[in-house]
Amino acid sequence: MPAITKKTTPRPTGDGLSRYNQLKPLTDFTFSVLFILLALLTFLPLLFVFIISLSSEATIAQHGYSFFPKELSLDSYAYLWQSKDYIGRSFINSIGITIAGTLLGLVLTSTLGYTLSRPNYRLKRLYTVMILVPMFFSGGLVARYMVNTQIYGLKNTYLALILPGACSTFYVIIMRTFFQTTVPDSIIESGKIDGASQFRIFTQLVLPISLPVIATIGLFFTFNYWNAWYGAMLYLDSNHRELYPLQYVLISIERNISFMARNEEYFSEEIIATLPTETMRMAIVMVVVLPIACSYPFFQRYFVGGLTIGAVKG
Amino acid sequence: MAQIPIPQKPQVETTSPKGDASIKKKRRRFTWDDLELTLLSLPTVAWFIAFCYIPLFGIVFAFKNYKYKPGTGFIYSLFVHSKWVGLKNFKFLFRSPDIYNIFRNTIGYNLIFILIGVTLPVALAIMITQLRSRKLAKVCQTAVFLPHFLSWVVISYFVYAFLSTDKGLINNIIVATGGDRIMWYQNKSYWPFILVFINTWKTFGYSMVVYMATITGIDRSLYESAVIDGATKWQQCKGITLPMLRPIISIMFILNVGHIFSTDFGLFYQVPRDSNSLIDVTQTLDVYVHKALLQSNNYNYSSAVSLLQNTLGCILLIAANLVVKRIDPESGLF
Amino acid sequence: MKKLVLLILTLSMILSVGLCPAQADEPTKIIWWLYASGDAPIDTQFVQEAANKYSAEKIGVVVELIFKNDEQFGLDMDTGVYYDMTFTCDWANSFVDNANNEMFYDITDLVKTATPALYERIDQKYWDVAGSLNGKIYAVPTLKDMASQQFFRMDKERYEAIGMELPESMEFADLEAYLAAYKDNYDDVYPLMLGKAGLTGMSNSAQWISGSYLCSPYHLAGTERENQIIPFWEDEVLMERFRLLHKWYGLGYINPDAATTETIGREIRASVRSGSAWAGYYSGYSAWGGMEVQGVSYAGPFMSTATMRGAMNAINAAATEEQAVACLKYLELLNIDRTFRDILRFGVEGTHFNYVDVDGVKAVERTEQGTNNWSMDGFVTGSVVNASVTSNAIYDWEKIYADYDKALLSTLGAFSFNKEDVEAECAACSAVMAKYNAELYTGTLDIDEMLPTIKEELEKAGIFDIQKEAQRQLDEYLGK
Repeated sequence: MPAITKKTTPRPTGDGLSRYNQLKPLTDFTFSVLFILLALLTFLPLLFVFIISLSSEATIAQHGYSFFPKELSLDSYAYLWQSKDYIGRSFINSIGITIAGTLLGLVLTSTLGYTLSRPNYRLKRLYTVMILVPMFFSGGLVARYMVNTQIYGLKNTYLALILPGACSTFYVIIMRTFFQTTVPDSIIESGKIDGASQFRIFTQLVLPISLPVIATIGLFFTFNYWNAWYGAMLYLDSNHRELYPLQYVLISIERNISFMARNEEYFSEEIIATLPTETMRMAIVMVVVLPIACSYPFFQRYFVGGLTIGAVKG
Repeated sequence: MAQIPIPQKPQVETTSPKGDASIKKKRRRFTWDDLELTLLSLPTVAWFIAFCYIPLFGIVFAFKNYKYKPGTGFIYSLFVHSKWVGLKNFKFLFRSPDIYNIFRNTIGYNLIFILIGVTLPVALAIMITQLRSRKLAKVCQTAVFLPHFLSWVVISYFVYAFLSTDKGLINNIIVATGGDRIMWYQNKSYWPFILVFINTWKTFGYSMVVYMATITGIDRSLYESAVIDGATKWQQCKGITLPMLRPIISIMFILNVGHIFSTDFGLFYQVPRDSNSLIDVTQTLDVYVHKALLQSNNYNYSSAVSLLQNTLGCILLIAANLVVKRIDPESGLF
Repeated sequence: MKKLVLLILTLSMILSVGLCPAQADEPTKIIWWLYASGDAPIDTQFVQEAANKYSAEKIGVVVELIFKNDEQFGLDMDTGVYYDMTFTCDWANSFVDNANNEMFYDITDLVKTATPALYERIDQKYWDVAGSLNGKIYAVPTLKDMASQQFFRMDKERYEAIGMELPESMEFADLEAYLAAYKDNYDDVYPLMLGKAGLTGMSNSAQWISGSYLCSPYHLAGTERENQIIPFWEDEVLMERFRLLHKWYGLGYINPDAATTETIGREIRASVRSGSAWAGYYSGYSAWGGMEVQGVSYAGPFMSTATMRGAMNAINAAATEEQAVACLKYLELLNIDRTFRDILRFGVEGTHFNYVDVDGVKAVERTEQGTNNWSMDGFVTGSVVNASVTSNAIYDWEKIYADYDKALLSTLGAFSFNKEDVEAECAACSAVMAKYNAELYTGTLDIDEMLPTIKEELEKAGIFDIQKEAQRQLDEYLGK
């Protein structure tokens, strides 16, 4: 392989020439204020959810939601803690499914995205149409369910939670566009000159400089898999609860509670007595959001800074 | 035709493919390159076939009165046993007295969302990459993503906390400053703004990330050369950043136009808490279908509506793509 | 040599199959689908094992319990996932729709020949009205509260404190005096706190043929309008109730945002909540509001297909006769054997509950594990009547069922409306009613003022076509 200087470590701005290319202080200040406001606008609701989850059910009933509840209580978390074995197992399931799904998704998306970005690829037209059609025309829930369970035999397996969501036209297009616009032809050409196969060019030349888009799509996949529960509801029977992912467990708990609250006059007292509802919902949100929000910084370092690919110029 | 869209890069050699003649030759033969690429993308293609194309037969649900026959297979029940009803499954839509409103709301809101979607997140993405304090940028990037996690049900709760007539925060502020309580959930004039605001709040972080990724992928040397040439920040933005973003923006635009008949159910049903007084401005196609099919789990009808939404959307997408290509031949979905 | 070995192997295989005791010794396995809106109870496997041990010994049948919610029921029934027995009723996994589509096994003769004890146990009128469609029996009714009697659950403490005694029963309109008195004396909560479903059960004075727009009121029985299916605005009783609600809304008795409130939470001390059960059920301490309540009846008891079809179990049409018989035998055991029923109802004795003696009645007291890991509504796993009662709710089912003889039985008999030809109209009308239901049932809307608009929209949606079709079907049914 030729000595291509591929710099993959992100260079922070304020380095070298970029120091002279910064915003005027006033503009920077205005922007900063704007973003602080935006950050507050988006963070406060989550804080609100957290506070509600710590409020007591009684004070919610009396005074509604408030940033300063009159009475705090850990009841909702205590209730979740009761089911900790059950929830613990589903937590591990979710982590496994998310990691496997994200990796698979990235492989599938990037390979096709790269293929479609090559201008001279013979089947480009065909493949583009092929990925666009499913964006609109879908067999629908019942047909997909039937095919996945009766033909592929995915019912009650982990694969049922990983495979169906492993790729998406939208992400392929994003990848394709990224490869087209920001990967200069020169890199590909120099690789080809040196007799590398497309596979090698892809993995060793293109991927390393495409970290922003990989991180972005990886982030999207991670969120999708982590938050997904509908697939679990469809494909997992109640006698296979060891396969349940976290979101599904929590949603089920919540649905049970809602159902009982809505039909309260038909239910006997014994069951209803100890269920917190409003605060419970918020506690569930916190349990779901926190791990994923904590994973965000992991992806974030690939967004910041610039990559110098200039060294490859002919 | 299928060229890499090469923006105006000052002082970078435009690496043109090796002459016209050889391109034509390459397209005729299935080259070794093509084979390698095909193999590379084979797993993905297999995935599409398995999970998107094989279930496609389900489209017939829209035209049939599906009934399962116990003891037989699904395919038999669908194709042989169920009756073909042509366009009958679409009838229920047009029996609604509000059908005009429904379509107006669906398309109207989506148009506004699209317009905002191609301007606001782009501007914010450009701005955030320019901030001096990288720490602030990082914190803000994390924060703007948070609304994405909250489900519409949860969002409807704290919108209620703000807008509740009796105990809502906003009414409390109004009363404290001497005004009258506003019955938010019974007054439809506020809701178009409320819904647009909430939807933007929830979704801008998501699109921003896509644009940010594209921006950080832009070759830094372009900017450096521009600075050497004496370009101001604004000129850099106009001359480098925006053109580099143009393909992705136009693609997001086209894709969203393709989905103009579908709306986010949670936004239009749960956030207004299904209040009747607001129906005129909050009922979209998906909400209407949900209400119509609450009592009877009629799968034929929901497939019919999906097919309608998707077909119309597809037509619009093709149209949008043509329009975009006319303006800028290098952008465009296909 | 090799050939000899091969021959011996083949022979031994054949012999082993032949000598292996016939499958008749193995208990028959049936798959039973049960209803759960959320997830299955945690100790399902545990209880299932205990139940299987018992039932294998008694009748040679074991069960696999799978809990499903509404979406799962719909999808699995539609795609033909195999089951032997399933829960079905009029509010989940619709009995009428599925029976009309021939999804259920016809057990008319089978239940009489294979399990006569089961047949005897359940009263004939329940077989006829609840479990049948078009004269054939498709499901086994679950015995629970079979009639609908509507109650106000009222805050006994506070009402008595202001001198308003709570009678056994009253008219709907009589509530006004109580609400007025409450408003004068207490100001921390509205007298009538309602969620968007309003006073559920208020509309049960009519039998609903389609959605919430076509009905056949019980009070028309014996009049010249008997057996007529009418749009809801012709039901004077219901309209009067709407008007009263609106009046109370105007007087400030009802919370203003009722139409957009999901439910009234447990913590709120609502002075009036709705209830649907039998006389004497609502009295004593209630966790809803943390207060003493008394139930005051204002309508009923009525009996019709709607009230009797609260819970049933049907058998898959694709099941073999052997499997069907196994299912019936299982249901029979549930209906006859109290010990067995209690396993499925309360769990494993000792772990989930204990038997206690309350004034000579053998009752059940749940343990903490029982309450947390195996608790669901009584009817989910079978007849409530045949299970033991819990120590804090001793019901005399004999007496309750005897009272049902006094209930007003709908003149419509076992009639069920087949919507197939007017489905589009039904969907459109449902959508129209969905717009107005919350406001109608919470009194937010002035019914007399809005009625012309509602009528017009329903007419455009096709309500009169539905009415014609339903009436035609009813006349045909009654003519038989």
